[in-house]
Amino acid sequence: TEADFTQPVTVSADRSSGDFTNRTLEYIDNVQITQGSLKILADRLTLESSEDKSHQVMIATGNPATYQQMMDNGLLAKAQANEIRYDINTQDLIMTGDAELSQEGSLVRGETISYNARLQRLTAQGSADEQITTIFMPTERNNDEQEQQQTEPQP
Amino acid sequence: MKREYWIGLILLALAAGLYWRSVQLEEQAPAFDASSEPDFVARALRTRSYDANGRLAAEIAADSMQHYQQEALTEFDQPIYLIYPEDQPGVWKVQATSGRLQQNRYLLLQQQVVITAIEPEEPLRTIHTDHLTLDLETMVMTSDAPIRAEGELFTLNATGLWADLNHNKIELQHDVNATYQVQ
Repeated sequence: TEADFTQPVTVSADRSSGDFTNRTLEYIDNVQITQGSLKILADRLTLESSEDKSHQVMIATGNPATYQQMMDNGLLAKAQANEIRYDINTQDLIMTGDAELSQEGSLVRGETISYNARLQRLTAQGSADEQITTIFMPTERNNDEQEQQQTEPQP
Repeated sequence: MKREYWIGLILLALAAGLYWRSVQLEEQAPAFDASSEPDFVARALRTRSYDANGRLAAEIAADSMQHYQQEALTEFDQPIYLIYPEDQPGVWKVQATSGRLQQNRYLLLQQQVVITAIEPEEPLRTIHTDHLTLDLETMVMTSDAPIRAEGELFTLNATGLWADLNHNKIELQHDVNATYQVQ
């Protein structure tokens, strides 16, 4: 939900490793990231930050790394991928490698899925040998809410 | 540069020698352990150490220092260590309630150990722990104690630390929990 993005981000892991020269910090094994209702589980999390804080990215990898977050519409969005990249400044979530995003039975699957929770915008991309799969579960809610969640499949 | 370097060193040795002589005349307080008297004691100590290339590697200041020749052991009260990493502009400051230097290489720091990154832009600002060991030759620091680290927008707790101050690398070994404030 919108409120999530004002909450502190907590990270827990078995161990961590930092390289101050390159300004990266890694959390390794049993990594859990939470921010309000957002929760990411991964094997490894890398934090990259530029000196002026204009670039602050969290990269979670796993087999798969998983993500879940309560949406403003009250429905829980879930996702998984080999890599989940979360840009703290733009709040863009980019999932790469067997990516799946689901909510209340509807599912999008592809090589890459990018999703912006704040703008409620989702784009999915297939790979050379696999198209994207989109399954929309009809719901009783009124139609105009459904139009808002259109997807733009890419070749 | 070579000439100034030698003059500086000689002056420093002279100052330390004079100071050490005046300390000797003072009536000595009974040593903590009666069986081994310190060979010499110094107060308000300040010394610099250079690496093989003549580069300032570290500065040590302490309220007082007791040196035991036989055991190749030096004890410090309220030591403050400034460490100048090899290829980094930054400086690390390490301070504690007490310190013990063994074989002129392994520095064990105890009680309220605080490591501070003097480089303002360092993501990590301070590390707090109860004890740690610093190898003065490799500038590698290790500890098995609980660790608390603070940065500009985050705090982090863990157990066990390994850090290479010369190459600005750090590892926290168990139970890592961090909280980041969002701007």
